[in-house]
Amino acid sequence: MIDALRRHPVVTAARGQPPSTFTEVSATLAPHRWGYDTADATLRVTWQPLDQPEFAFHYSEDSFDCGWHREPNPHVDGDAHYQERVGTDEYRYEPIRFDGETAPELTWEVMERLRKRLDGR
Amino acid sequence: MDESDWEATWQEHASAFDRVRSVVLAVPEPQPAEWIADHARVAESTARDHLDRLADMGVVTSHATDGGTAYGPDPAYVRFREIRELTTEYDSDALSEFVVDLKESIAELREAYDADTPADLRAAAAEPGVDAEEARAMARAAGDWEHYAYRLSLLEDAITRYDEYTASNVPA
Repeated sequence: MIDALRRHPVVTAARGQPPSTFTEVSATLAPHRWGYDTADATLRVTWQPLDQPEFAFHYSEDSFDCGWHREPNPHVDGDAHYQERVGTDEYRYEPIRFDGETAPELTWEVMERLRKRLDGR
Repeated sequence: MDESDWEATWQEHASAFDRVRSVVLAVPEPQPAEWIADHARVAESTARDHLDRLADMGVVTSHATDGGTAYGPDPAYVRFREIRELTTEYDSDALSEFVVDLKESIAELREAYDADTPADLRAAAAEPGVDAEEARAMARAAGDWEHYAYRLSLLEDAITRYDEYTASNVPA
């Protein structure tokens, strides 16, 4: 999904991290291109290529973070969920359903979900 | 969510060719053109044209299956793309440090699970008496191990041929 991220208009850079093991992709975002002002916005993506891939797209900025994940968790029924918190508050969770199936579809889907979430802040 | 929103954004910023390429490079198993067309949001005939072109370019490999032709990433292309990213982004000293990190990560897994290879670890996960949660953790660790071994092989190649891969001239 690093290619899909690099093609997205709000992503300014995307790299495998750490550079040795490359267990996640770390992207720097420019949400001001969506008309949302914040500094130091990043997106971290992990992807486990299991039969049913498990993944997490997690956005962070100063005092707010949120993510769209599909992985076993004790918070909602099923694996797919959205989570967010303000500052160091407890996370709030809700079950969701993804439309996309492949990594590029999910990347564009999550980025659109992020745009809408930031638009509502 | 409204599917059309993200699909429209994707179609606006990535051409049909780019969408077909990104989908076929992301499939874990080869898939028929129809499936790829569906996921890339293009017509099947468009997907076939682009897949043939990608196969000519060595990006995609076609596989004859009972259900017809299936397409997946060309492993040599994927491998070289990763190597090129490493040699473009890092110097050979940095690459050598990554080798040390990776070998340590592999040694930690070998010790933690008392297994010699990822295949041994997968076999151990399938043993009777291993509960579901533990089996899942072991399968995940085996996946990590395979991933580290793959990254290590890329790094070794990148370091061995660093000068050739970063040369400004290539032999005719």
